[in-house]
Amino acid sequence: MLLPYHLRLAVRSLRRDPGLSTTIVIVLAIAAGIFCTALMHYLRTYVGAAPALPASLHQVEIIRSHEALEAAFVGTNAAPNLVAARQRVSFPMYRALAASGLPTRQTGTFRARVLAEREGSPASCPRNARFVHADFFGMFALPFRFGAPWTRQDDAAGAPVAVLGGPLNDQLFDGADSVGREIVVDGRPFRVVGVIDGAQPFSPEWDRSITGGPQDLLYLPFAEHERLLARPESPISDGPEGPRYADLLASRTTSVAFWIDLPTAALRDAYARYLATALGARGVRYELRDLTLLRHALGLPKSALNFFVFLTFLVLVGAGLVASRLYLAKGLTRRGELSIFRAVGAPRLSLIVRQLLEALLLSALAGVSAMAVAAASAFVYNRLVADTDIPLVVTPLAFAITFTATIVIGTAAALYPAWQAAARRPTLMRI
Amino acid sequence: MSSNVPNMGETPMLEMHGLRKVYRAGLVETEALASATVTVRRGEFLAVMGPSGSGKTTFLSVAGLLDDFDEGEYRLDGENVRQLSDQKLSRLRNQKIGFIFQSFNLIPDLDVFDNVDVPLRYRGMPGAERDRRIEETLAKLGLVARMRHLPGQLSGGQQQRVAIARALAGKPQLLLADEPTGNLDSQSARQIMDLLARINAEEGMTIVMVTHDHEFAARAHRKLHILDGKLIDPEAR
Amino acid sequence: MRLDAGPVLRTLRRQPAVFTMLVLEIAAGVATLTALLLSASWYGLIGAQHSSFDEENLLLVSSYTPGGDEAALVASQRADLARLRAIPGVEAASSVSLSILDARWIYPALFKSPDSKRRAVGWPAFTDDAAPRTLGLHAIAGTLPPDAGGDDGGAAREAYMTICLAKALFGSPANAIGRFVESDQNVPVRVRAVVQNATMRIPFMPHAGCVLFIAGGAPVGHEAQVYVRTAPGARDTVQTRVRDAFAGEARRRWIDVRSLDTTDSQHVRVGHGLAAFLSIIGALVGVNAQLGALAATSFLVAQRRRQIGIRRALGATKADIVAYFLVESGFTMLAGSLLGLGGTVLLFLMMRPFFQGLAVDVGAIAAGLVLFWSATIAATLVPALSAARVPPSVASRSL
Repeated sequence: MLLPYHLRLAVRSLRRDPGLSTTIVIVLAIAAGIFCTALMHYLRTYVGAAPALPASLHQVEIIRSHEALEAAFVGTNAAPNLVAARQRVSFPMYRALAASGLPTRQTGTFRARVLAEREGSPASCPRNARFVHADFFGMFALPFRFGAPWTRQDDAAGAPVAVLGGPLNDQLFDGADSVGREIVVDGRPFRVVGVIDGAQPFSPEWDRSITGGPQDLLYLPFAEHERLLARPESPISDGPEGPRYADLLASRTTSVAFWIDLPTAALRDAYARYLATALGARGVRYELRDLTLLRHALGLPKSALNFFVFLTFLVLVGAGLVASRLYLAKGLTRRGELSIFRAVGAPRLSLIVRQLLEALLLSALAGVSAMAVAAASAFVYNRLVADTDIPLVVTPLAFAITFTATIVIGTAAALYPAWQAAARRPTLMRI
Repeated sequence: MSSNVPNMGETPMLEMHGLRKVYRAGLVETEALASATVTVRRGEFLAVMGPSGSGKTTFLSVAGLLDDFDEGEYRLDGENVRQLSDQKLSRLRNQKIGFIFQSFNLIPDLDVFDNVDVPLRYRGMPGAERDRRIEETLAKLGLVARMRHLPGQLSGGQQQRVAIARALAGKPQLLLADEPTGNLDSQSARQIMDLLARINAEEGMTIVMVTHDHEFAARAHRKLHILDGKLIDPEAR
Repeated sequence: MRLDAGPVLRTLRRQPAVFTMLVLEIAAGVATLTALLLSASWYGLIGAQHSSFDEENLLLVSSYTPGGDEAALVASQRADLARLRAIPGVEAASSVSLSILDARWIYPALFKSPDSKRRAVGWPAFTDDAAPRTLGLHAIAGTLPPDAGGDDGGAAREAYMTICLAKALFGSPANAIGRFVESDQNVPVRVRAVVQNATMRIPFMPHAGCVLFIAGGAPVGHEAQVYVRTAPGARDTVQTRVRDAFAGEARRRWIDVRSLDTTDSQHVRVGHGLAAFLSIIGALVGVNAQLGALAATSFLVAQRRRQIGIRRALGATKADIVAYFLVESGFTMLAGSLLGLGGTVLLFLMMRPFFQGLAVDVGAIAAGLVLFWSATIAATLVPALSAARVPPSVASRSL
């Protein structure tokens, strides 16, 4: 097996031209780092790092026109709102959908702004609070750093409990275990029962409209919204409503995302029959989808991120061309050496393989070094562009894709130069 | 040996007095030329012989303004070259000197036409005049059919003829040849020697040629020996 | 210095694969760099965008009032308006639901009129009769509501719209007067006036100039936005007075008083930040391309050392040697740039769906080209100057 021999020769050859080898690594690493930065953005928006959620989660879409939203939002940063519009229902509709008693778990949810402080602290700026049912945390697998979610019994009893997001816990309690402590929300006391671990997904499954924006800082029982008069953030009007809160609750304005868990076929069929009676009979057009179908039908629309991933991939290809030029230059210096190898019987393919191995080694080094570039780039991005409090970080998936792309492009860059260099006639003369 | 040198005028083509050239590598000094004194008349064909490492190439390099020297005086066509700027030296090389090297020294990426074109370009000659000169020179040397061939596509003899064409196209006054037949087979070598002799006889060009070959050296008007950097004129003894 | 372009061109033509790779390399660099600069300039424009309102004399007072009593919230906001209007230096104050500058998304409406079959997308703003004076609106057609100055919000079911909406729905401003307009966000309202287009600084939004101002008061909730028009030149003083007036409520409520300076808006900061970030990435792309050019040219110089010596022996000056490398680089740079600009056009077409209103920024493209060329010349010049130092004696040395 000549592979270890070729590998040894390849390493020796690289060490003979340290300047050239370093330049190739730097050029590829910088380009790969730039590509990785765009990829990180794309992956956190469209793929996410959330734990796998059960396919038994379902949503009901009420089919209606969104002409104004489509005219205004398509192709803009607000495009996730188009998905949100299809995932939300009005309060009356939510009540109808939630009344079946069939799902093993269910939750309504919407976001509103509230004042939330420690007892005795002055009011600071309004914070994003998410109103949910107890089942929400388990359905979307939110990890807890301290404590646990409240229970269904707490929901039923109207207990004034709260779960803090990690960033809010850091702000109010310096990151300490705040379970059992009290916070004041709009003048009303709430007891902390749990603290979420880490940042929320960049594009949370439960509410796509907050993709790329600030996180949910606080979770409150759904029923509290009436007591707090919490007006949903960015409601999508489907008809004018009166000025009172009760008018909102009775209107067609879509505000609530309603999720259910239907883990068995029997439950799905039963709920489908329920919908046919509750909605279909009234002439309401709807669609019941599980999570897989939902992701397929209501995926986030393309955005500038798609373009930037393509553009930065071009940058990486360009770096491959630069590397190719450098491999060609390197090939010029070793004409004599390779011709002599040919003269003593080395097949052309072995010379090509050796040069490709050199390229593979350099590309691998570049792929790993690219992570440093990507990390630095993410650091600069997080400082310069404060569009969200969820920092951009290098993820294993981004690293894997970038590393693979760098290897492929960096090695492919050496194909033509390797073929050229190996095409020399065999000779024992000095060239 | 013959001393029948055509007398083409008073001013010698090349005059060296007490020339000294030392190469320094760290603490090691090598005297490549030691007090070299020689005069080469216009139209003279001078052969320079000596063993390897005797300083032949150094002598030719200094004579061709390719290298500087440490002591002494050198006049080329009556002009003292000691204090001349790099720009002026380049111009002198371009206009007055033609080079022929043992390894031909053709530029591999350029075809025959473009190789011969190189010195004419640096002279700033107009395009039409350049083309005419090149074609004329290549025709004289029987290379018209190879005009667009690359050096790698030519035999050794053909390559050396291209080098001679390059050297002659600018109509220099002095031709310096460093072992012009060293890399050629005997037939090609004889052809090149015939060519050089013809150029000297018909055009009166001054030629200084370094060679190992006594037969070729015999075709020159005069022979010089060089040994350990010292020039020895056998006729002077 | 003499430029031997012909032989260089012939040499490049004899190596089509290498020449093609070089050209593609430069084309990729030019295209990606100019596309990055185009996108950076777009984000920068977002950051530089002003609203059409008289921002130098406007303050935004945002508040959050907790409490579970709607009547108390209504009373509180009316009291806030009255208090603001009473502050010296305040010419007008108005509660407006639509934010001129805000990071949060607001939703457009599809306006339609029972009187015409046309429909148009725009932005509803629920406000009061003081809004025209506060926001500096002028009637192009019809009459604006009198500045009630009170707290009743004004006559319900009346509105005034901007020119672009009037034209889209009724063909002309004059035709809009007296007509009714409704949407999914408002009951039918009668148009009493048409005002100048109001450009808002909604982040990255199209249609950000077509507004229907609906009288009757802004919806009441915990959060309120009041725009305050100050006397000319008195904005900063009034800002301090407003903060002082509400200082006593800081523990119970959240109150924020800010001017509309561009730096104060989050989406402006984001726009500027993205412009800067993309420019940095563009610079890295450019540097990367030149790194390769520098290394490759240095290598070529080392490879061609003998050839350089021969050229010097044949009469080339140092300047001629430098020119030789620059000409060679120049050909590929020219060909690559032309191809790269073609690539830029393609990338521009790809960008347009995602960058609303993206226009060809000749300045950005020119800047990208100039930067690229300068860097390429510098990258070639450094090794070329080194090549010029190769002595002619190299030609005479044996291999």
